[in-house]
Amino acid sequence: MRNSKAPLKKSKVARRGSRKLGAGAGAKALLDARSRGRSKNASPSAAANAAKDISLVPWTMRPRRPVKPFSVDVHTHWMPERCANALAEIGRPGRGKPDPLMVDLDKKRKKMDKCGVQALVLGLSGRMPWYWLSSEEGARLAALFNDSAVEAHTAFPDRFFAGAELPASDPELALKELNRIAGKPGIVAVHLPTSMQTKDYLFQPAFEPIFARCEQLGYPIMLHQLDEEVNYYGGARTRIGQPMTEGTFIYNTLGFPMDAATTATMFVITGTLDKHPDLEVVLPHAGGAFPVVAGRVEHGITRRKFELQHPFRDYIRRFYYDSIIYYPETLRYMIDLVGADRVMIGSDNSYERTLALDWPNALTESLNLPKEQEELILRGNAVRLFRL
Amino acid sequence: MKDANVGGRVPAEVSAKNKAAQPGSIDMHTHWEPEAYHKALARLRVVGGVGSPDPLSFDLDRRRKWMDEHGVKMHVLTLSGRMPWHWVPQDVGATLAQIINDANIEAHKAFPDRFVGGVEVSIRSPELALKELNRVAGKPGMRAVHLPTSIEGKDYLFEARYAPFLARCEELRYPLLFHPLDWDENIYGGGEQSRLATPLAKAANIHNTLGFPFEYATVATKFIITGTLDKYPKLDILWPHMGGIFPYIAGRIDHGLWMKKFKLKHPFRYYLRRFHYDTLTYYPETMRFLINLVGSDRVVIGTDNFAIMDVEWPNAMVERMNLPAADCDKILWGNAARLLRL
Repeated sequence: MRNSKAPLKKSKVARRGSRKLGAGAGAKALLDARSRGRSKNASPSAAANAAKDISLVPWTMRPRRPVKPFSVDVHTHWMPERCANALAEIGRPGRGKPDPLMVDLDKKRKKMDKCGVQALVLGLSGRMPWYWLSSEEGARLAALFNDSAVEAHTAFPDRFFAGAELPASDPELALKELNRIAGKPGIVAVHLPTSMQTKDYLFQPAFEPIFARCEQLGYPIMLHQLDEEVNYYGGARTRIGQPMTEGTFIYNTLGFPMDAATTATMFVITGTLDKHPDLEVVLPHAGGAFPVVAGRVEHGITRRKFELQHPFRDYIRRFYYDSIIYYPETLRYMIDLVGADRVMIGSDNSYERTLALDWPNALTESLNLPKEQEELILRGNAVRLFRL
Repeated sequence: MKDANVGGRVPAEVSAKNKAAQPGSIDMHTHWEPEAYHKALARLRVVGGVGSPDPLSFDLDRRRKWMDEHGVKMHVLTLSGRMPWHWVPQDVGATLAQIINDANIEAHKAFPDRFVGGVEVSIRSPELALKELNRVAGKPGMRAVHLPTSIEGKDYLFEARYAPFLARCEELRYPLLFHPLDWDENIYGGGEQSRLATPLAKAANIHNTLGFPFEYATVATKFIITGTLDKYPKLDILWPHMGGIFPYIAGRIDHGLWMKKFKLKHPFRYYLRRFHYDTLTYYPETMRFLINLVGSDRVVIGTDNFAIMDVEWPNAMVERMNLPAADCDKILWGNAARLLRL
């Protein structure tokens, strides 16, 4: 299975699944190639490509053929100008000048055209401000986002949709805003934090009516983790946020997956998914750590005789997952485990210095999945789930 | 879905096949509590130390019989997450470590082809830990070192005062066998304040089933970003429970370091293969993913026998994968034999 002597083929663009990663061939071959030194057929492009060994940075993979807009990107961020201004008025503006791609819908459309994305389901970012704004300020900001989203959709009905923002720290006002915006053009979901300041706010009794209403409206809940130290997994000053971790981003790269895995597990063990059998939940960043840890959680529940209505494994397919993961073999495993009908394209666009996928479809396309599975992931699942 | 082979339940013919010509597997993640340890806890009036009441935990005859029936040649004996180092006084800890290690040596002497041991040390004191390590270094059956992943939320091993201890582990070529600690103050994400420490979370066991996997990713990442793996290039490390979430989120960590232009000596993927991972993956898809990602030469059998979260058929899931024989043998016993220098 593993042919460690075969040199890695270096090509300018993504190889569509031409390299089978058997028994760790990829990782070992990487190490061998590096230690052998670079190829000596030095046409300039070969040398340049060798320097940009795509297998070391698979998240930069590009499509092989010219693309036309097709996919639906369900994980992407937008800061409407009205919201930016409101935050500035309140006295806590964003961090410096926002990336134009974060703000400017024309720039978003151009980027979508360039990388084969037909439509976005927009939300605010990990800087959702519900936990530090007052209830009224939060309600106002949420309304500003939602009204802006309706305008964006009305202007470009085949390009922009949105998950409604709600002032999550005030369940009453959140329900009020949900009812106000429900049914308006372009609103297809609800956007909520996975947790706030290390608390599982979603599972307090006061939040129940929101789950019920989302289920009733057919609005999936799109979850996203919160940035900022006070929301780090385990709290500020936590192991993944200490000084020794500075410059590594692991408060995000470990913290976010741990947060999503915890929230997903809570959806199951609180019985929320049983109580609301038609409620849909979209887990960000390929479900965080949830897919890989589900088996262990199941085993623990079985051994401790914790009662669930269904086998734990069945709940894995109660969620949807976006494709934001950065090694092809990990994406392939995730799709295999949860099912190709539960995965949708995500990019995490857009602002600088994040882990966005510049070419959102590329990694998925590189897996050479059966055509119908690929189309479900690129587009069909999102169209079905969000009723686009 | 396909058979949820969580516990590795297997029909009789597979285990029979295993018993046939092969030497059987080497299980690098299994727990014991020798009777000498129980007696010492009682004598020293240490309350709350005893973990498993299961006779398999201390009865080596029953254990050997169980191993024979389940295709396992050898156990690497270690305490469980109930290592008491962080809550007993350090000198008491040192005494307990001596007692367990001596019992481990006796177990190996009695059954040299069945049992080897992970050295236990009173790790809160790096000096006492080093002293005990040096006392048993080279003694029969001592082949690895058993350590907590963290203590009360502290990544203790990366403190400068532990450097001599780590250096000695590397020098002895004793792989580090990590395991998280039980007890509330060690729950990942804030101890008693953790989201994983609520009554509901504990009832569902997620303080363990989520907390442990989070531990491994945290410590593994710190081994990389602190340069510790570079500082000790011959140091081997085994992560139980497949390294938890670390293999799955490795790409995210990698991407984050790349985006931040954080300098590593080697590509991140190289470090994935500096570690070893055991086979407690629970789902076959996950096992396949693990082997694919890190390489069949980095995976060893682990079972958690005989704790409550263990699996019943150590070799079943690997054997059912129809790997090439050479890869299968590596996972069953070859990699462990290399790591433990048997």
